[in-house]
Amino acid sequence: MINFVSDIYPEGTLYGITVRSPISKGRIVSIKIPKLPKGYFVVSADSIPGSRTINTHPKTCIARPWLAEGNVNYKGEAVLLMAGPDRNTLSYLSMKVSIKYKKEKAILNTVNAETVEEYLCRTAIRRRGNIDSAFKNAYQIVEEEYSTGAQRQFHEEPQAAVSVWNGTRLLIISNTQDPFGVQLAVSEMLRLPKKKIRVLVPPVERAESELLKYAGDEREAEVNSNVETICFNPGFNGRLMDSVVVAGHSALLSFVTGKPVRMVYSAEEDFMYAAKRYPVIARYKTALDEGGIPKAIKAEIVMDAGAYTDGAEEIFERILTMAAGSYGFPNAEITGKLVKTDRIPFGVSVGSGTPQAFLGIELHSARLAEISQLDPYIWKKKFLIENKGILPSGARLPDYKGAEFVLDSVVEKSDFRRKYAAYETLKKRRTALSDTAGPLRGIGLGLCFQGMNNDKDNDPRKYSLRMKLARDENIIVYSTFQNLELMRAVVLSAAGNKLGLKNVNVSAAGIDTDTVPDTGPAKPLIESVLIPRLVNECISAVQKKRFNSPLPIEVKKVHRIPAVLKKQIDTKTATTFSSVSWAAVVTEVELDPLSFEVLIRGVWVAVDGFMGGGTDISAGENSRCIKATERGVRQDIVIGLNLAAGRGIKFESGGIIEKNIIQNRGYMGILPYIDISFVKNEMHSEKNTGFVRTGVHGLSVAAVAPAYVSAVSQATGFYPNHLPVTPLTIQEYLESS
Amino acid sequence: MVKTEVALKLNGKNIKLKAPVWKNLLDVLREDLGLVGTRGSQGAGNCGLCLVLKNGKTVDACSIPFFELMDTEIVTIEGINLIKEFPDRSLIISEVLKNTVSYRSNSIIMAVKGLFLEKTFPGDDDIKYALSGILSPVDDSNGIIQGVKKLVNMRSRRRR
Ligand code: FES
Ligand code: FES
Repeated sequence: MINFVSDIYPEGTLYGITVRSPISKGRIVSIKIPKLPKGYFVVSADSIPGSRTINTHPKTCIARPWLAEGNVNYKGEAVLLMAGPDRNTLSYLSMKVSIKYKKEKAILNTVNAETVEEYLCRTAIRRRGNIDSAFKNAYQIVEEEYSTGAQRQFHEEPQAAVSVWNGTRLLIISNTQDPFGVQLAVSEMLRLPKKKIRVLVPPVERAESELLKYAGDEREAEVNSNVETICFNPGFNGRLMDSVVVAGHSALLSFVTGKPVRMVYSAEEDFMYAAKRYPVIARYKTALDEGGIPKAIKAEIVMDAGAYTDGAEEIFERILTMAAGSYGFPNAEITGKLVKTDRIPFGVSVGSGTPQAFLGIELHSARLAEISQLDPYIWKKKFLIENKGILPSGARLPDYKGAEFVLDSVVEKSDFRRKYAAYETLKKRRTALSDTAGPLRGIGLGLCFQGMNNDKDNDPRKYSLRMKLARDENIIVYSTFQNLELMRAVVLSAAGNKLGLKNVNVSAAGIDTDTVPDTGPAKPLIESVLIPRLVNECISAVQKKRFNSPLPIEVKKVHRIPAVLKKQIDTKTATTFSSVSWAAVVTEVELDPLSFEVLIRGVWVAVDGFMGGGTDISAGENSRCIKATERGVRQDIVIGLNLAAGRGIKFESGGIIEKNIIQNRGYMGILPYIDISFVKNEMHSEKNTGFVRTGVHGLSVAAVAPAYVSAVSQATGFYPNHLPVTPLTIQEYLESS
Repeated sequence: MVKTEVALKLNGKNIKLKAPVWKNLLDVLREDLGLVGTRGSQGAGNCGLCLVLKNGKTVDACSIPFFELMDTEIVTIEGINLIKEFPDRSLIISEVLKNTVSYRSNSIIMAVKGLFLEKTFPGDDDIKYALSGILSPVDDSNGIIQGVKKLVNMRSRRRR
C-alpha cells in the first residue's frame, strides 16, 4: 500500500502556506498583519522557541534561518507562515499581509560574487610539481572556460510534509531523504527532546498510527495490489535541505496551532524555490609541449552556493578533487572559490558534484585532443593517470584500471573510432552548413569516476540494517535506505542463494524514526554499495541462527569499515576514496540543419564496479539486479542529457520565473537508443575493497553531458562553453558565424 | 461561504455533492471525498497529473470547476475497473508500468485507459499524444510506449 505524503489529510487538518520575500536582498522594515478570522494563524521567527537557524551542517559558512528575520537574502525566502482550514481564504489573507522592505544591492550571478569579499565563503588551493616553469617552457597554452547552470531536480511529488502535534508528541510525515536529520533539526527548533519527535517516510506500513487517520488506504491498497516491485525513491532527488525546511515549517505551525498541518508545495513553488544543482564555472589553462603533450594544468573552480551554504562545502571539496579529471598532468594547480549569491540556496543533485567537475575537464580534454590531432579515445588512454592513481589534486584512487576497461568497452561497442574519423573528414570537407557533404553528424566520448570518501562515508556509527525472517518465512527489512527496488533484488538473490528460499515475500518496514535504525541521509551511491553489503551480512547471520533458533529470527548489522580498508587506514596506505567506479559514455548525434534540433542517434554506456551480492553480475547471473541497476543508469543518462541539452533554469531579476515551468519539464523527448554494459573489474572484488559491489547510481550523469556536447561540436563546429546547449544556442552560434 | 450542490455520477454511483463554488473537481475528490488516487500539484493545471474520465474522455480534474459537474459522469482511478472495456487496470500496470509504482502511475493508467476508450487501435501518434505532458523526465518513456503498443497488439489479437 502506498501513501504519498501529499495524499494524507488528517482529520481537522489546517493547510500551511509560506509568505515569501518578493525582493532579493534587503531589510524588513515592518510587518502588518490583517485581522484574522477565527482558526487562522500567522507565525514568524519570533514564534520559534529554540534555534532559529537550521543546524544540519554545523560547520557551514552561512547557515539558513527557519524564517527570515531582520534581513532577507533571496527572492522567495520564507518570512512568515500561515495556516487555516480553507485554502482559498488563506491565500486571500496572505495577500493582505503587508511587509515593507528596504532594498539593498543584490548580487545575482556567480561572476559578480567572485569579486566581492563578503560573498567569498571559502577558497582552496592544491598544487603539485612546478607549475611556473612548466608554463614558462610551454610551446602552446590552451585556455578555456566552461560553466554549468542551475539544474532542476526531478522529483515527482512536490516537497510536502504533514505534522501532528498532540501536546506531548510530534508526528511528522515527510518525503525526506534524511528522516533523522529532520528529527534533529526540528528538535532544536522546538526545544523538544528527539524522542518526542517521530518522523515517518511513506510508503508507510503501519498507516494507522495512534495520532493519525489516513484517508484512502483501502482504495490505494486495492489500486496497488497487483504491484510486484515498488520503485519509489522519494528521496533520490533533492529531498535534503528543502524537505527539512518544509517539515520544520509544518511542525512549527502544528506546534503553535495545536492542529495537524499539511504543507504541500505546488509544482510552481517547488520549481521556483526548491534547491537546484549548484552552478559552477570552471577555467582551465593547459601548457602543451611541442608534441602536444600536456605538461601542466591550472584549473580554477568557482562554485555558487546561493544565499545559504548548508552542505555546499562538501560538494566543493569533491569538485576540487576531481577538477583535473582522470588525467595525469604532471604539474598542476587547482584553485577553488565557494561563493554565495543572493539567489535561492542551491543544493546537492544526482552525482553530488561529479557532473560539474567532469563536464569542463572532459570538454577541455576533447579540445586538447583535437589540437594534438589525436582521436579523443587515444588521447584519453595516453594521458590517463598512472603512478598509483594519484590525481593532480593529490587525491589517491584505489583503482585506475577501470578507466581503461570502460573506455575500451564503450569504444568498441559504439564503433567510436571509425565514426569519429569519418565525421572528422566530413567536418573538414564542409565549409558551410548549407553545402552539406552528407549529414551533420558528430560523436563524443566522456569519461568519469565517482567514489566513496574513505573517511566520512565510511563513518562506522551510521548505516545499519535490521532484518527479520518471520514465522511465515517472509523477510522484513528495517532501515532508512530508500532504494527499495535494489533492496528487494538483493534480498531475494541472497535469500535464494544462502537460505534456499525461493520467491520469498520481501517487505521493507516503513521508514519510521521510532522503529528503524539511523542509517544517515539516503544517498543513492552509498546505498548501492552498502545495501548489498549489509543485506548479505544479515542473511549470513540469519543462516547461522536458523538451525537452532525458532522463527522469527531477527538480526542487525552495523556497517563497519571493511577489514581490508581498516588495515590500509591503520598503515596509512589508504586511498582518498575507498572504492571508485568508472563510466565511459559515447553519444552520437545528428543535427537538423533547418530546425537545429539535435537527434540523438545512440548512447553507449560502460560502467564498471557492478558486482553484486557475491554473484558476478557482469556474467548475467542475476537478471533482477541487472534490471534494477540498468534502470538507475538509464535515469542517469536522462539527467545527464538534461544537464547538457535541457532547457535549463533561467534566472530573471534574481528569481526563477514561474511561467517557464512548462518548458522545463526536462528532457521530454523519446529516449534515444541506449546500450548499457557492465564491465568486469577484478580490482573491485571484495578481497580488494571490502565491498561486494561498488556504486553505479548517479555515475554516468557526469560522462554523458560532455559526450553529448563534444558530439554536437563535431557536428556543427560550435564549441559551446556554457551548458545547457539548446537548439536556440546552436542557432545563434551558427547564424553569427 | 457560498456552497452549491450538484448531482453527478461518480464511479458508477449517483451522488449529490455540496461544496464551495470556488472548488475544482480535483480538490473535491481529494479533500472532500478522500479519493486521493487522483493526484495533483495544486498548480496551474499544467503538470498532467490529475487525469480523470469525464463522460468517457480524459480531462484535467483541476481545470473543472465544481459547479460544472452537474449531470456528468466521472470516473477516477478508484473506479476505473468499472469500465469493462479493454484494457483493465492490472493489465496496464503489468504491461505499461512494468509493475512499478510512482507518483505518476495513476495518471499514466488513466491516460492509457482514456486512449483505448477513444481509439480502438491507437497508432504511434495517438499514443505519443495521449502521453505527452504526462511522462516525467525520469520515466522510461520508451518502455511505456512499447508497453502501450503491446496492448494494441493484444487487443487486435483478441478481436480476431
Ligand atoms: S546480488 Fe544483486 S545486486 Fe547484488
Ligand atoms: S493538478 Fe496538474 S494538471 Fe491538474
